[in-house]
Amino acid sequence: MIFAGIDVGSLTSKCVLLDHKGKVISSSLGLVGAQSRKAAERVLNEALSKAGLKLKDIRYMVSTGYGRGVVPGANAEITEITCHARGAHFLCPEVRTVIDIGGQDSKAISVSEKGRVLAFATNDKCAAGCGRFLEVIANALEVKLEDMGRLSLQSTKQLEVSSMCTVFAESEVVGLVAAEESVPDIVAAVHRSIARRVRNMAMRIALREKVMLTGGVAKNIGVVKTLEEFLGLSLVIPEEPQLVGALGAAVLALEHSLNSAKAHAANQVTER
Amino acid sequence: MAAEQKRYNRVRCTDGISAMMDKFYKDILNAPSQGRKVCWCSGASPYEMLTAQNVANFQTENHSARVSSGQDHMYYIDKAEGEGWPPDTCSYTRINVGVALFIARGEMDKVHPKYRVAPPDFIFAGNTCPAMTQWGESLRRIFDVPMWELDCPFNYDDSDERYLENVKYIRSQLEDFVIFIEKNTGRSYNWDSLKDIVFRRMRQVQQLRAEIAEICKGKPAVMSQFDAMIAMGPAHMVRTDAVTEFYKKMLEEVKERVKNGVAALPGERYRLMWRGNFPWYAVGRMSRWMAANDICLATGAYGMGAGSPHANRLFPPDGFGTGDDPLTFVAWNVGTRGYTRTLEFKMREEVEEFIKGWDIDGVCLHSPRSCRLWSMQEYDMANLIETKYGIPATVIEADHTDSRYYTPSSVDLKLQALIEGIKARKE
Repeated sequence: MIFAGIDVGSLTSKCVLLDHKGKVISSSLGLVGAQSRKAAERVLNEALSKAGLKLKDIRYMVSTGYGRGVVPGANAEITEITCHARGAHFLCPEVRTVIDIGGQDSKAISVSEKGRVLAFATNDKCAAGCGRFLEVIANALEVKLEDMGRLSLQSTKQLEVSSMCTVFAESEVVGLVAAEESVPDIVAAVHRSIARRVRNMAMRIALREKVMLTGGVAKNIGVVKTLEEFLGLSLVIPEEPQLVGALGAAVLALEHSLNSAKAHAANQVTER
Repeated sequence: MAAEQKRYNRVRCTDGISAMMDKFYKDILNAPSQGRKVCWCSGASPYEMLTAQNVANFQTENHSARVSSGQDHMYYIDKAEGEGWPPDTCSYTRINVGVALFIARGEMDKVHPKYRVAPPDFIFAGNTCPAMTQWGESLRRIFDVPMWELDCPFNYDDSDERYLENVKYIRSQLEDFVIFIEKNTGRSYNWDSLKDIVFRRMRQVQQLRAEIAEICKGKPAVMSQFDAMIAMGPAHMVRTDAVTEFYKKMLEEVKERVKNGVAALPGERYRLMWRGNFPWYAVGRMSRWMAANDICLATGAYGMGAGSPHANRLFPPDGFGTGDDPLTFVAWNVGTRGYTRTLEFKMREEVEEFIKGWDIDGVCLHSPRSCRLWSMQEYDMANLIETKYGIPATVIEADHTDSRYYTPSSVDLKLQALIEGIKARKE
């Protein structure tokens, strides 16, 4: 019996498959592009193929993310808020706060000891402080996105970049380049602007340790270190930070099935 | 997500509101031909003083909400922004300025017949809402007519001494306003009419609405916040017998629903409260989404406000020493509104009373992008609600009449996450 979680986000689509004991047996990740449904199908098929399984082997599937409504075959749609909380708790039961920085949104979630959502905050109307922001800046600086973290650690001078608007921030970066400031210094400033924005959002929900950082931006060592400085604590970074939402969805799929089984068993006893 | 098939069971008498408002605005359009003066007012202003003098008047917020509910707002917003009004200005203002620019230039044909009104002879604005003072100034320039501004001080400590000071100050201004009205209408002020409006009609409507709100506290709710908000229209607009009759009819209908066990949303599972004004262009969409997800939007100060103790102090307590002086009552009504009060007051009277009274599972707090007045410390309130009542609260960022600030996926996410939070707490 397999339980599937599919997270169709703004930039990427993810799939995690669990067995009946809650062990991760496969996962996959791909770009969404302009077709959420196909992106969901693709990552699901890839994950199944990796594990040597078929669609019919899936007992229950939960979808999440902005594209949760278009995942074919999903038995339930649950928000990424709940899924990230559950996924983070599954990986580290001591986690009490999840900060997720995705492609176009970021969120801070306060989590109970049972992995339930106590409170949450999200950015609204603005992708400043998210993965897309970093992509735009990486393009402007002609560096690879995956090199931004490493470069920022070489910074020797503190510069300032706005955290209010991605478009304005890009203009500022162009200005800094024209002033011949170094790329590492500029990248470090961009990371500080993200960290400040995310920290201010996270403080709205009464931050409690341990704090886990999820989402693609968690792979950026520069953002991680800067955010740790701003928060004054060490962050828990999962091995696959982009998969936490899909993992949480799969866990919820498994839990649903276990609860259904218990309820069925209880009914059997009653009937006897 | 559940299929969008389930709908709210609307209170039938609200079907008549559209025709009432059509007639109301037509009367304003035709007022000059009847020899009546016309005044455009901002909502926090005591326009009953104009009605008493038979001056045709309307509340700009109501008019703009009507435009937005009709999905026609962008045409007028584009007009205003195209002529320099910043997109950060209150969207009620931008819609009304758009309408005003057409009318002032003799281009009434470019205004949809439903939204046509006669140009103003003067403007009345109160600074309870600072944006409306600027709106008033804008219209004064557009139409080149006089404007009268009412200064409504903030009550920083909610003390009785402050109340009395503010009420006295506002009353003294209203005396000057009477002189202004007499000058601009060319006749003595009709005090008998004002007394009738204040002591009879407004009191009747207030009592009827309070009774309706009380009945609506039951479970399941017999009337939703959606109906309550739509039903605000007559209360805020007119001071006529037709309005009193409308609320009498509404009261009878909700009583009948209780007797016959008719719910606003059959099978309601979650009872939510809405705090703040509402994205008028999204009423249909949000009511369908909530209905499909078994959410009864049961209450909120913006529609069921008459149910709060504060509203029941619309008229000052006996012994206030006013005798039959209508100006003091008008000043009291203006001076003690929630807009000029502290966070503690708003929490107590405009949030907690509703959470307790309606046995609410969760709270939505609207943060309207272009509205300073209703951007009232939503995040503080959300924290206080969660801490004190242990129920989840979510802040929904949108706008009251500018749909560009409304992102359906973001709003749906917040609402669905709120429901998941409610379910988790109940487990």
